[in-house]
Amino acid sequence: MSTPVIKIENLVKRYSDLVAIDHFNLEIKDGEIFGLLGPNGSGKTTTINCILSLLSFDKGTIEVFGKKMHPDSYDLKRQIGIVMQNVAVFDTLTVYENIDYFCGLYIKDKNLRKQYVEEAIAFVELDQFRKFYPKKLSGGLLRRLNIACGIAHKPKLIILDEPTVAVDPQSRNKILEGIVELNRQGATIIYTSHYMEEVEQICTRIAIMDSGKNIACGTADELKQMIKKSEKITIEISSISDEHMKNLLSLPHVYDVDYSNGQLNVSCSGGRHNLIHVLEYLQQQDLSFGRVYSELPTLNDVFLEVTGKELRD
Amino acid sequence: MQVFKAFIKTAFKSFPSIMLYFIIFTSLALLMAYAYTDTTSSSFKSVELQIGIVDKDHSAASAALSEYLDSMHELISLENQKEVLLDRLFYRDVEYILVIPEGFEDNLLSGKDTNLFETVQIPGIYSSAFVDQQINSYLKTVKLYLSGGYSLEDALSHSTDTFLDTANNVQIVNFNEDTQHSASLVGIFSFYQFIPYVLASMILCGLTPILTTFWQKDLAKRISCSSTSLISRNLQLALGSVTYAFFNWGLFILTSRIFYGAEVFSEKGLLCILNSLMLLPLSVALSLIISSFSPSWNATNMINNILSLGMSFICGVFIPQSQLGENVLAVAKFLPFYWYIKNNDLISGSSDELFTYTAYWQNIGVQLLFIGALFAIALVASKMRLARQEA
Ligand SMILES: Nc1ncnc2c1ncn2[C@@H]1O[C@H](COP(=O)(O)OP(=O)(O)O)[C@@H](O)[C@H]1O
Ligand SMILES: [Mg+2]
Repeated sequence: MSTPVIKIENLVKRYSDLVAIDHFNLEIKDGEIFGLLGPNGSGKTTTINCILSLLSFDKGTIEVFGKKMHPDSYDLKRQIGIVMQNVAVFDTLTVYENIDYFCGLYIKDKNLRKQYVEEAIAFVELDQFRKFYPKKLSGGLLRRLNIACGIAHKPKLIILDEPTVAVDPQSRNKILEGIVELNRQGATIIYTSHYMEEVEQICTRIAIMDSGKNIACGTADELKQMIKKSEKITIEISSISDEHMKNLLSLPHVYDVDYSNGQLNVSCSGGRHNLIHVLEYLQQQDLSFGRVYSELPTLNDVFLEVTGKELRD
Repeated sequence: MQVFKAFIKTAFKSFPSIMLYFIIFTSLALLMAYAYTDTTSSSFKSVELQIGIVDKDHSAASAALSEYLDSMHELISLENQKEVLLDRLFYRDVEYILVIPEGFEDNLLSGKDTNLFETVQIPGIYSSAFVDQQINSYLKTVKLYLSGGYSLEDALSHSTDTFLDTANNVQIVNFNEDTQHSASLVGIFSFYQFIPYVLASMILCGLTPILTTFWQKDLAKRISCSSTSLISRNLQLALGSVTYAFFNWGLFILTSRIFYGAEVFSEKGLLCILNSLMLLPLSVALSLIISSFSPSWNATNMINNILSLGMSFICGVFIPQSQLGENVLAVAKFLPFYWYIKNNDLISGSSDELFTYTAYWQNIGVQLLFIGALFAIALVASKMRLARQEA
């Protein structure tokens, strides 16, 4: 088995009294798009900063490409691209000059750098803005510049910390497509976000973080299978008696039924034909109903079940 | 050299506003330098005075003294009548009246020290003190010859000879050295007196925002993730700062060369230039300290101005140190500009102190101590910044 790109064992990081990272474990393999999903303040950025050795930590070990990371591990840093949560570019340099600056921190060869910078500009589609100063760019374009600065030197590992915060939907889709493309070209990706849809859309594997702990890890499907709920059926209905609800609950695989605001919610665990069974029952009882939805569980459901709170606040 | 390149690029983006500084303040400095040159040259002319003389002794000694004064000033013999004398003085027919009393020669021979002669002067005129000095040193020399065993006749003639030969040198020792400098040297002195304010302003205004940018938390973090080593990055920043400082300094040297000619590179000129070199590390260190506190753009400008203007006022850049109050000077001694100006005054001869290389190097030394101290503070400040940013 090849060495993992990142291996974190028992990481603990305290900010005086606050335990920001609490015995955190993680292993990321080559070629993954790994999602670090967690609400604000769950410790995603702190974890990234520890990986990059920007922060010292209290306990545990971190290995990058099989080697311990230190502030002066410049050979390791050479292979890492980083897109920080806060946009970090020079206001006094243009789009082109900024990308060239950051690329030049890694690539000394002038011609190669020029080629890389051009490729990065094309990649984030900022060609027509190359002479713009950052102050003149919209939020989405600025994020794209930030990404270009992080990936221009063609790193093997790319870490993106909430790259889509405060970005319009169009730019957001461009960014997500770009990340998938970078991965296709061979880079391992670490992607942090508190948007479960994004993570679910692009990540091959996901760790759910809460209060500095890794509470669940796996592919989106694996995570959803970990929980009891496998299907959520919602039916618009004007009224329903307690008797009917009891009967519904006794149907196979149904483990929870509740009714509120004209909506009947039926939670099922396993089984393939739950919706049909529920609708059959309603028809037999001559109960008229409106629209019907059947949803597979979301990562939010996973988060809710594991932590008892909503992912989105 | 990526950091250095970005540094220089950033520096030159703020170049137009820095040039504005340069042009405005350099023209001001040049203007003031010209004004300064004018007053000194007029005081040079006023050295030749109209002196009224009342000789009551009619001796060989009094005649010799009169002859000596006559060689430098315009002498007018006057009657010994109080009203007449005061009248002449009042109407400025004469600017100084010397009364040689009866028994002057005898007193001289007997070695009497005080009240050898009397004078009537217009109060508050600097040049009359100068004549007092001339008379005193002449008489001192005569007494020196007499005590050396010379006859009165010989003592008088020798003294007159030495003074007439070396009249200029006597002036150098006894009077303001300025009077000996060419007009361009006087301009150079005054130009270099104004430099601290402009040079410090330009370096502070140019450098502080750049350093603040490079040390801004998010950028600093992002940059430290890169594979360019910390040492290399810091060296490039240092190189950038030095280049920028020298560039500004060069502008001033060039300007002084253009306006004052080759004399800028005469001995005295070079002493001024070397002295002004001290301003570079000084301003860079100040800039390092300020930027460690990551001030906003507005705060940066305010701090820069307060520092450069404030220090300049207290330390005698705008107002000569000789005209500053004792209290102000006592405070100024704790500021580096004070020692810069003190040294400049020393070179130009406008201080009380005679120029010696020892005194010059001492003033340079004090400035170097300040520079050392400021860099130490800068180091502590940047440690504090790092600690703050880590938290
Ligand atoms: N410099 C700091 N000092 C003290 N507490 C901090 C600091 N940075 C982050 N924290 C705390 O650590 C926790 C994790 O923060 P962070 O890693 O930024 O979360 P996320 O990136 O997931 O939003 C939060 O509770 C946050 O308030
Ligand atoms: Mg974060």
